[in-house]
Parts: sequence; structure tokens; C-alpha cells
Amino acid sequence: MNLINIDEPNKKSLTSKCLGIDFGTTNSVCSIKIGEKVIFIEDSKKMNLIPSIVCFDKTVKVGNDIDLEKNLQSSIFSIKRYFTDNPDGQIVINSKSDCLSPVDIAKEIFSYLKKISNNFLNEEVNDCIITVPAYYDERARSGIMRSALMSGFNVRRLINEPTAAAFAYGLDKKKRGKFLVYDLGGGTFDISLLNLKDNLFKVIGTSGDAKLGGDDLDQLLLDYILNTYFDPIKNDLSHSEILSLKRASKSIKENLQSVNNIVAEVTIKNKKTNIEISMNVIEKIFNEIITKTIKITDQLIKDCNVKVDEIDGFILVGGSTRLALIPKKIKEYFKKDIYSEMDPDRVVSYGAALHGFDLLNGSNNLLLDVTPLSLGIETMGGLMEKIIPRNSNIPVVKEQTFTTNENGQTSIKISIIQGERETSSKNTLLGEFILSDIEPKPAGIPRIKVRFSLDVDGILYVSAIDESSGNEKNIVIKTNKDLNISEMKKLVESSIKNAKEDMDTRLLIESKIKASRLINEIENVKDQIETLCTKKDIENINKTSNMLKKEMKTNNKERIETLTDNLNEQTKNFAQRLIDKNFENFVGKDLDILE
Amino acid sequence: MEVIIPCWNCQTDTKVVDFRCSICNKIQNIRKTNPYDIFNLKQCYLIDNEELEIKYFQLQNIFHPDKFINSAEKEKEISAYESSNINNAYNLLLNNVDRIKILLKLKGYKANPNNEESFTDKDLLEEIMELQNRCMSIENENEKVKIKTEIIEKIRIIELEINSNFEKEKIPEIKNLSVKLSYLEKIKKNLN
Repeated sequence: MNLINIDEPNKKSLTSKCLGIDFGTTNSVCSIKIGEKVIFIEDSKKMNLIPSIVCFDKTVKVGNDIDLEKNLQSSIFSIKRYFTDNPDGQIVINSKSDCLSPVDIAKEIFSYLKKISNNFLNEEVNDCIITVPAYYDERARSGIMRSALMSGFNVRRLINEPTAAAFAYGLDKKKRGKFLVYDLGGGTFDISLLNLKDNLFKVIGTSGDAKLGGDDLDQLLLDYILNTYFDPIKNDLSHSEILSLKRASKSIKENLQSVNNIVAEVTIKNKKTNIEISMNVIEKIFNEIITKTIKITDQLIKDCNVKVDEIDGFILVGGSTRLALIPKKIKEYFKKDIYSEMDPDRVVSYGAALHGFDLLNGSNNLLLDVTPLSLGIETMGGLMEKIIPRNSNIPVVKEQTFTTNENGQTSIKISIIQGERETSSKNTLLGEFILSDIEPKPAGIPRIKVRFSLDVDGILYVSAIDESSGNEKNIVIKTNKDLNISEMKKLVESSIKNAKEDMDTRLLIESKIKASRLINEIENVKDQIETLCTKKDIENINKTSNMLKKEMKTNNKERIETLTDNLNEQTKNFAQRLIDKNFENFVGKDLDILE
Repeated sequence: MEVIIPCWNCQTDTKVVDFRCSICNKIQNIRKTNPYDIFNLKQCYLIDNEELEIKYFQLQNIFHPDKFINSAEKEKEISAYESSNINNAYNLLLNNVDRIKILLKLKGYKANPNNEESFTDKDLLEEIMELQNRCMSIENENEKVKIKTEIIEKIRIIELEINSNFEKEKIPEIKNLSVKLSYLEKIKKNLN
């Protein structure tokens, strides 16, 4: 088989340009591959780390153009963090209480990045690849996508930040083998396990916490400084005083990588204070968060069915990994080599630029990624029927056939759910739609085929068809008021923690469903039973089924199951088997006959 | 690989080489439904995972949407459809329980009647129950590793048995082994 990508016939002979944009919580970085080199876009101050800050004053200002001393209160920081809550929520942007959504605010950053790129390159580049946290859900992804599109960018692909970084290490540093990319940014934590080969970069699995990052570390350190040195006056500090303390604590955090002890002098209320922070103190303050990231990493390795021995090392990405404590803790726990030779602030954008060039100009490299969270629909009794399990390779199309629960039912509501919990009410509802005009038939007869397509950008499309009537509705999951992703980080975590309790609920619900199906079934074949059974048999069946109906109002799983089994036994010869979800099982020779 | 099919673009019967029309060079559908055929693998129960992986990568290299970013809508559609198809087929073949169902189907049998994992064998039931009990009372990591190794070995042996039963066309034996295998896989997964 030919591995060389065949060029399109009408492709331009010149190479196309594509920006790699890392829209970060703290800083954004743009780069572009021209010829064989990747160059970083600089703003008018010759900086290539662009603070992701927007100021809505008389004019809109972004990044280093903002004078923070003057505009602190009218500046919006870390807008990326809002995408995991609600990309279309309303945020107050100025003293007049005007509101804008995170999508609109981020748009200003993308517009600014476009402007400085055009200035720096002296030409207009519209094509771009945007990186997103690997653990971002569908709604946050499409929010970012919409923001960038609104600024005039032609977004050719969304790729996961750790994947982009691994791509850079694979191509530039020729890393080969299984690597964990530990990406701790300003607002998000991602951990991805990748297999890097020649021309091939495959994500095995990914996990993380969409609401954990360097901002949280900064806040912990700031809290510590406030409580330790300014306790009596901490509530009387002005905004600019807080800001100078924030800066001091940030610089302490950043400088502690080279020394064990730091003394910083700050002037608050005309009084000089020496803040002294040692490595031991930092270790104590940050311990909980770092331990959490290690736990998530450990679970991912297990979920991927990979032995720790098989892992060749850790790649550190994201500004927060400059903190010496992080490689130290990882090394202590996993005893693996750690690689951070590529600038952790710029490597994501760098990898995106490489991939963008490949995409537009063709290449032998292949990048295969996965979806971070399971997707499914809510079925009878509030259970989640998983259709696309997490860590499935994308793109993916999955179909599943469902049926009605009541005789003569003509419509079905389909709720699309994302998360790892067994019961759907504990997962994130992504959207709902109703399939109506189902031909009235006995319960279990209609076949409703639901199709989930998750594309390479991680955007989801869902459709459902009544196979007997051909009634089809397609929906694209868009942002809607039903969605609440603030529970994101809790999903996998609480799913593991509450797995037992959840399983019990699921089992109880399942036993009730089985029981009600059986009762329904019996009612459907009542005539037949009456003609074919003895009077005593009929009496028994009615007695048991009445007892079962009563028992179903309780939560006694054992009794429901026993009665169901009993009733099954009594009606064995008469009841028709419910048509199974899977057509395929009815084709072919019967295995039982062979026995 | 050379096949003659009607190309959706040329509208005539054309030669297809490496899934592209030899006249207009447009990408064509795979036109295969069972996972073994998609990867051109021999229909055996035990498969060479490395061989499968190489073929998986080769196919994705042809069909992955990244390779069609500048292409026409119809080609993008084929790419998205077939790339998903390849992913699904790959995952099915990697799964030792799904592989049984695929092979049974190919040989003309029902996969697993009503998808219910019922025990007809009392000894098997006892063996599984005992294993489950042991897993429930695991106290330390060493014990866990020990049980896991034991289970992995059991799985390996069952896979060999299933393979030889498929070779000898002893289909009824496969059914029981398949139930046992899926329980062992479940227990293994819960140990993570």
C-alpha cells in the first residue's frame, strides 16, 4: 500500500501558510512555519508571549497594549477559564455594568492576534489551527471555535494542546516511544499518553481537570502571603496593592526553581515588608494540587492498560511546570525521565504550527487523537447508555437502536449526555431533542436508530431515525441554556469515588425495567395465554404479576428480581421473546440447536 | 490492490488503486463490511496485533480527514465516514470477545443468543464467583498484581482454546468459553 499522500491535482505550487495559535489562560502564543523554520509572532513591543487580557475602556485593548497600573479594574483576565462553565454566559466588562459573553471577549483576543500576525508577517494569514485543552468538552471546544471564526480566522482544525506539544517533540527532538505529556497551564490540567513513531503520533488516552491550573497555585500562594504577613489588614487592601502582592507571589513562584529560599520586598500602606518563602513552604502549599495531578496520571495509565515500565518518559508542557517542585514530584512517584527542553510556554503553539503546515501542504505525518469524555443518551429510568466511550479514536460514528417502553408510544425524547457516571442525572446534559410521529406499535417493536458522529475537531453531530417510518431529525449540538459544564472536573473523579453507589442504583433501575418489560410482554400475549394455559396456571401468573407490580413501587431489588424470575418461569412457554435490540442476532443458525 | 468499480466522480467503471480512481484520482469507499476484510486479515481468532496496527495506520494514512482538508465536500464525506469505519473495525478486532462474535457471524451463526451471558455450566459459575470474591477482599497492591497476573494467564489459555475450537469448527464449545472470557475481562477491568 502506498504511504505517500497523493497531491490534489489543482493544488498551488507555493506552500500555504497556517498559524498555530495557543490561546492560553494566561498568555497566548502564535507561530507559523515558513520554509523549514517556525517563527513566533511578535507584537509591537517585540514580545511573543501575549497576555490573554482584554480591557474594555474607551477602546478595546489587548495584551501588552494595556497599561495595567491604570486599567486594572477594567481588564478581564483568564477569560479561557469561563469556557468550561458557559461560553455564552454574561460577564460584566466595565463600571457601567455592560455585559459580554466569554465567546465575545475571547474574540477580541483572536482579533488582536490576527492583527499583530498580519503586521509582523506583512501579509494577511487567515488559516489557523487552534489548540484547546485535551480535557475540554464539546461545548467549550465549539465556543473557542466560534470565537476565532468571529474574528475572521479560518479555523482549519482544533487540536489538543498536549497532542500539539508531543507532535513538536516527536518531529523536532525525534522522540520515539510511549510518553506522558503533563500539561499544566494557567487554568487547565491535561495528561495525555501518546505513542510516538516515525511519521505517526497516536494518542492512547487522555485525562485531566478542566479547572485546575497555575492560577490556582498563584491564589494559594497569595492566600498564604496574605494570611501570614498581612492578616490584620488583608481586607483593607486596595486593588493595586493586591496586584503588587500577586506579582510578588508570582515572581516568587517562578524564581523558586533555581534557589531554595526567596525573600521579596513589598511596600504596602507605605510600609516595607519582607516576604520569605522557602521550598518547604511551597511544597506544603502546593502539595494537594500536585498530588491530585499525579493521581489523575496514575489512573490514566491504568485505564490505558499500559504498564509503567513501558513508559519512556514525561514531557512537561505549560508555564506552571517551570515550578521545580513538579518534575521533582513526578520523578519521585513514577521514577521516569523528564523532558522539558522545549520552552513549555511556546511548545504547544510550535507543534500547532508544524501540524498546520502539514495539513495545508500535505505530509507523511499522521496524527491520531481521542475523545476525552464518554458520550451517550439517557434511556428509560435515567440511565446513561454510553454510545461513544471516552478515549475512543476520532473521528467516530456509532449507531445504536432503541425501542419504545409503552404500547402505542409515538414520541421519544432523546437527551444527549456527556460524562462518566452511571446515572444520567449526574452527568452533563449537552442537548435534547424529540423524535415524534413514531407509528403506534406495541412496546419494543419500533426501532429508533440514533447516530452519534464525533468529528476530528471534537464537535458532535447527533441524528435519530425511526427505521420503520424514515422520520429523521438532525441536530448540531449548540450552546444552550440547558448546559452546565461547571461539573466537568467532578465527573470522572466522582464517578470513580461513587462507582459503587452508582452501580447499585443502576442495578436497581435495571431490575425494575426488566420487570416492567415482562409485565408488558405478558399483557401483549394475554389472549394466547388464556387459550393455552390451564386455569391454575393463569391464576398463578396473575397472582405473581400483581405481586411484582406492587413490589416495583419499593426499592427492594432482590424481591423484584426473584418475582421477575418466578414470573418468567411461569410464562416461559407462552411469552414471546422481546425483539432484541440487535437485528444481527436473529440472522444465522441457532447455536443452541447444536448443543 | 486493484479492483474495478464504478467511480462516483467519473460515473464509469474504473480501476481503483489504493482506494483511488485511476482516472480522476478521487478517493473511493472501502466497500467492505466485516472488520477482517477491511484490514485484509486472515479470518483467524488469534491475530497479530502488530500486523493489525500497521494496517490500521496504513488505512488511516489514506482516509484520515487531515489528508482531505483542501478537498471537495464529497471526498471529505468519504474520508470522515471511512476513517470512523476504520476506527470502529480496529477496536472490534482488538477486543477478544468481539472477535468471537465477528467470526461466529462470518461462519453463519448467531453471535451470542440475545446477548445474555448465561451460565449453563455450574463449575464455571463457581469458578467465576470465587474469583470475584477474591477480588473483593484484596488487601494490598501485591495481592492485586498477583490476581491480575493469574487472570491474564487464564485469559491467554482460553484464547488459545477458542482458537483451536475455531480451527476444528467446534462451535458449541466456543459459546461457554466466550462467556467465561467476557467475565474474566470484566473482572480484570474492575481491578484497575
